[in-house]
Amino acid sequence: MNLKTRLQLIGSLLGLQGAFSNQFRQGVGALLVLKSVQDEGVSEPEFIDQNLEFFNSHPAMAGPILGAVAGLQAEAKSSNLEKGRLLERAQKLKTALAAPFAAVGDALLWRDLRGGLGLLAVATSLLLDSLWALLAYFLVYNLIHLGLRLYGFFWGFGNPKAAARLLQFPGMQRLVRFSRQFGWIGVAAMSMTLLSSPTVLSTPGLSSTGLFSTGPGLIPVVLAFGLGVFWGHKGWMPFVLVISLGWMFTLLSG
Amino acid sequence: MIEGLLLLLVAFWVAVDTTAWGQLLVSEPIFTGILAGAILGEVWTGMSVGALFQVLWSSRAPLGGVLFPWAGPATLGAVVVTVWASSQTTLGFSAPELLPLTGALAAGMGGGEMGRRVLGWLRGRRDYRWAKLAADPGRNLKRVSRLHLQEVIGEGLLGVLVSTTSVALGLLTVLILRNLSQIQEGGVILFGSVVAFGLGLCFRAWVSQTWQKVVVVLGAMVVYLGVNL
Repeated sequence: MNLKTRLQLIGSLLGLQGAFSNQFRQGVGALLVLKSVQDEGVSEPEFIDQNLEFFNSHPAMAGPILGAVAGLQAEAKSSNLEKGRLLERAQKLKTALAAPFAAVGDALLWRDLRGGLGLLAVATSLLLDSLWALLAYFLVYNLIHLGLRLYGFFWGFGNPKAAARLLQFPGMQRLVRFSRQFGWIGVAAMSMTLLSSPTVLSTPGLSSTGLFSTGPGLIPVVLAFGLGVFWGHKGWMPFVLVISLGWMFTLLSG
Repeated sequence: MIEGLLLLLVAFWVAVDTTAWGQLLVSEPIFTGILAGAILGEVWTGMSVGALFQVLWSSRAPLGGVLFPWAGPATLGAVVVTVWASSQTTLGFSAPELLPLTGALAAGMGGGEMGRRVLGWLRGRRDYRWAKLAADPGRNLKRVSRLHLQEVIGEGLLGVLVSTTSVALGLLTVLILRNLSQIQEGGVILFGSVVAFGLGLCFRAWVSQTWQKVVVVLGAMVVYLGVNL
């Protein structure tokens, strides 16, 4: 694979969800990634027909999957005897790995690293009055995210069989188990930061904000927390209630 | 003028970063807030508004491609409104917090929800567009690449539209409510309620084990009592 192809692949992998739709999901993006290994013997309309289909996984975890699929398709291109079998295997691999890889990617990257670690980083940053924690969050997330999405593709391309077993790797399982702790630690850190430093979000415009509030102010804050815990998943209504409560107590206390 | 152009560029970048290209975290409210704040010369204000929406939305992950508030462009709009409304408080408004915060909430929540609906519409439109291409006898890979690029740019431009609409929504709210801004402590209560609601969402999403609940609640109580007694 030459440098130009590699750069095109990086662009395609980063834009995997550029045409995300209900019908194909990441199918269009996957088609553009697999274009790099297109068999010259196959016409473009035929290649599009073979590869433009429903594909839905986590965008970072799609790296090793598409790498393995591209690897098998490249093998098929150079092998006349096993061509049909390898192409069929590539197709099956793409379908079979999408859902389990998506489940792990959603939990690891969306829930634990982006959400949980993000909350922990924001709390630490506010507490220490420094942006270093946010920089560390940015770097850690992208190291894992881009590692899987970009490096994962090229690794999967060279090792299709190993890529298919990625979720069984002890290192991967340890990473998932370890990152699961970020969520509750983030909630604890943010609660304690806001309670311990009343002016933690002080700015020239927002001069004394934070969770610190005594007297009547504490009641809507506690109620809002309860609404978030018990009814927060029910869409807009709890949020409207929170705003209404805040306003009501604001008017009463004013 | 240059500030405005830079803000539009950042709005485009964060809109594209959310789903279409990169997903490098630039569209997370905290980073969008810092970027927008830096352009406006108010990094800490940007960070505060970003932190507000980070807490409120961080438990809402796009699991399985589900639609969620378009946080990046909405946060950018909220920061612009906050900075603008903060400067308005020096012109005679008595409450320094309430006005900018309410404007930020209106811009952020309104823009976020509008963005969610815009993304839903965009996905539906793409179904039609790509199904049409798949059935076209003249389909080729160059056309697929071109359409894909158009989709990415289109999504970015829609994000810019969401940002500007959220700014308009926030400014309108500030103008309507400015006569109510005599209330001194209002911002604290309103802000505290919204942050607490967001923490409640995060608590529900991530604090699942009993021992974790005990640690979080006891820790918060100890800190609160330690500070206040």
